Amino acid sequence: MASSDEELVARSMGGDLDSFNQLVLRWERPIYALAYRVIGREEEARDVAQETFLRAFRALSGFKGQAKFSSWLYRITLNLCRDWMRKERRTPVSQAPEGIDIIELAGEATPNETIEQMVGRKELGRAVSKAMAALPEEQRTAIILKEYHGLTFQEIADMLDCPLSTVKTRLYQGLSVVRKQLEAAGVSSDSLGK
Amino acid sequence: MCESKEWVVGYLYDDIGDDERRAFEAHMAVCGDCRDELIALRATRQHLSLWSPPARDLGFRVVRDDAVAQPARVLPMRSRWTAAFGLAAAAVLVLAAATAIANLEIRYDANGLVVRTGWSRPSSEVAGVAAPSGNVAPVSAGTNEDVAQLKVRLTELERVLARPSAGVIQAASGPRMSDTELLQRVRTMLGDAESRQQTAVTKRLLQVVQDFDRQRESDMALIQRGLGTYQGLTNAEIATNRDMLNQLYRVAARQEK
Repeated sequence: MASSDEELVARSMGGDLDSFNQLVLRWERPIYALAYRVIGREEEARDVAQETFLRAFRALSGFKGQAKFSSWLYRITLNLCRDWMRKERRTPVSQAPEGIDIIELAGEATPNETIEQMVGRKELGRAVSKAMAALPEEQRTAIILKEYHGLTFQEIADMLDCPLSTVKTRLYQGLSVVRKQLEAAGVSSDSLGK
Repeated sequence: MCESKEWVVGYLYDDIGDDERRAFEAHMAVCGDCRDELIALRATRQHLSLWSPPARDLGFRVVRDDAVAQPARVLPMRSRWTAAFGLAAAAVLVLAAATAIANLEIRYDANGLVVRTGWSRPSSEVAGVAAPSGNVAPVSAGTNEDVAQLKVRLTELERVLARPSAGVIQAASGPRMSDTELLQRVRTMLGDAESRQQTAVTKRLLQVVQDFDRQRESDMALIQRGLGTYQGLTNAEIATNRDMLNQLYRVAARQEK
């Protein structure tokens, strides 16, 4: 049976490097995904993810367990993303390539999906990426944490140090803007092929 | 739209208390705007689910400091060679300069070992110093002084030689490169190497295709020529045979007459 995060953290604190590496293996993809969605750049997101684990490892003794280990990692990642954006004076970008790579697409194909559906799905993803990149950082972060990482409103509020109602407002406003952006781009609920 | 966006969002993500949920459902029963809003936001959420980060091979692993090479403390091989050559060159230069300044002269001849420094020409006494008898080394008062000077200069020289080597060690452990910078650099180098390799492979492929085309054309021409020759030969042989037959007919006809 797989050990829980708490167990692995406790063992890591005792100097067990393998336990920490199990945590890395468990969380590297979500952390990379978070960084990628926040800053929108593949290479930089990878660097941020790597730095997150290094910092977590170095600061492990300071982790008191008030929050979940994953929330702690998310917080480190978001701080690093903010630092990167401040340092680079950059806003997130939609890094989706212009063309559609058929080979890549074929690898991601789901069963019973036609080529047209696959291409449509890819294009929709690109439109979403662009719409998200246009959002203010607070709204984008709230949507990412809720939508893609499944955090509760309270967890997001704790992580972003803001009231619960602010999180909900940011989410609502962000979703409304994304909806309008997608509509402006010609994407409607029918585009989902339903 | 009524002021219930927190409700809508809470209901949308099912992150709402039971009482609130029931209250909002009751509200939706009478509020078409909120109903439509909820439907539209659900569609937006479905759209959002289509945005996924590119698949990447991450494979992070934390290792202890003593298990990894410490790049900041290890000079690349090229730099090490550069430093060594620099040090050697500096040593040679300093030695040459010191020798020139000291005007060092070492001579071993019938008069024995003579070590002389300084710019003054050797006096006839010194030059004429020789072992009066036996194997006693010829040492004059002047030579002793020169040897002492030489010792002093050698000490100075050693000091001078010691200085640049300390500088190299400092340089070696001087500017430290952060992990991120190092990774970035390695990644850039890998990217460059990859693109160079791709270009090389593309060029090679192009070359192979061109070579193949040329070879095919050349082979076709050879075959064509061969066929032509063969055909030409065959025609010539037929003509010869026909001539021979005609000749035979003519001879036979003459004999019959």
